[in-house]
Amino acid sequence: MNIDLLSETGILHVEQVMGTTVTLDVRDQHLTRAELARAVLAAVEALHEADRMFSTFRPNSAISQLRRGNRQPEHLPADVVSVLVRCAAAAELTRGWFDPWAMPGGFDPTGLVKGWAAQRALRQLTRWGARHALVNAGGDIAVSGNATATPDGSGWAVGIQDPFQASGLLTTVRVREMSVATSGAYERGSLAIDPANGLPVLRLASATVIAADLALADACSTGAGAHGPDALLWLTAARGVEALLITLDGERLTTPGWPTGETLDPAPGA
Amino acid sequence: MKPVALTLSGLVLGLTAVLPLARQAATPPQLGVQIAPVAAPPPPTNLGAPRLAPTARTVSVTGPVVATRYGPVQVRVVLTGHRLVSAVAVQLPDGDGQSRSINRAAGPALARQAVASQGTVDGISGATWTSNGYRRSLQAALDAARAAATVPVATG
Repeated sequence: MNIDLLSETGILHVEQVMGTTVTLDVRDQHLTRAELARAVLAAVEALHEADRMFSTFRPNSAISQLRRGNRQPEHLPADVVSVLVRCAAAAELTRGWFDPWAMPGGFDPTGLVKGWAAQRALRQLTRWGARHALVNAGGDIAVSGNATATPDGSGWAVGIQDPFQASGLLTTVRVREMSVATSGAYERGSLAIDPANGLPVLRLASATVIAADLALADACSTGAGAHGPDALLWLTAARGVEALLITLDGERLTTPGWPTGETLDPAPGA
Repeated sequence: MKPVALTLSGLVLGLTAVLPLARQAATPPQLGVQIAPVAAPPPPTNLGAPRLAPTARTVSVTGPVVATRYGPVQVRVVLTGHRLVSAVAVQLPDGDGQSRSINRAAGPALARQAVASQGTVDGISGATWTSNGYRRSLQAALDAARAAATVPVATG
């Protein structure tokens, strides 16, 4: 194969990292295969770096040292500080329903880090020349440009998994420069923790949140899963955030700005 | 970095994700499930790209025979680039007269739905899957279709 050829079809890469599978789907047609490979390599490295810093399963990760009290906050890497700041902001926005400081076993930003890492991987793809890309980190999606790889503004069509039927979609939303995160108990059981008592809860079948930043969308969907249907109150109050909640009875609840048509896209986040 | 490890066998796995549509076509549509059809994609524009580049290839794949509640089902799909352009039911349950007439309607419906679901969805948002869960996911089916369409043609 000649690696200097223009790709025309882009590149698809699937990476096992952070305990899940991450899809990198780059649609740019006018980069060479070598350029695409370099962009993907940078994005993959960003994902593994995030895993090394934030895995609570790795005893030597910065987050594990922080949990043990072996590191003072002023000696933390800048990326860890950045995640801590985002966690604090998300805790406030979710009115405490996303609270990494209230997790059993100590500080645990897992509910935000996967989205943060995927958003960072997308930034690497952009930095290396990819203008039309999608990163899907185990169901949490960040996109840039358009799936058509042309400047037509059509964005990306994101299907939202039906929590009650493995091969079905609840709906499809078209997003431009926006992120989509979903939490639910149907893949790995309930991972939602009630911050009030540290106990696992099952209060929604699924919670999908659209926001400009995938870290925030991830934290909001995690917090909604812990809170239940009443999360709609703070999700509606949050600027630049839209949500679709599926109750345990299968009822659909949406924020007023949730896109109702197949081709509507939400206003860019505030 | 390893190259994309997905192969056509992955597409076959993906087909099994599409197949439940066959059952759906033969039964009343389930509430809460809607796969939105979107207008056909615009014709590809090459924008003067050098013809040295491999063009989007057309790939035809026939899936495995899968046993369903109604009998064996087998589907053949054709992909051009990252678009699923057609899906044809090669084999459908052939029971009594009633199911034969249902099948005549289900075949085209299956093809339409398969094209609608894969041709217009670029990614799937869902609860975090494990590596095993990924293999069963709709995202894996999409990835298999994309991988088949993006593997470069060997030149020499």
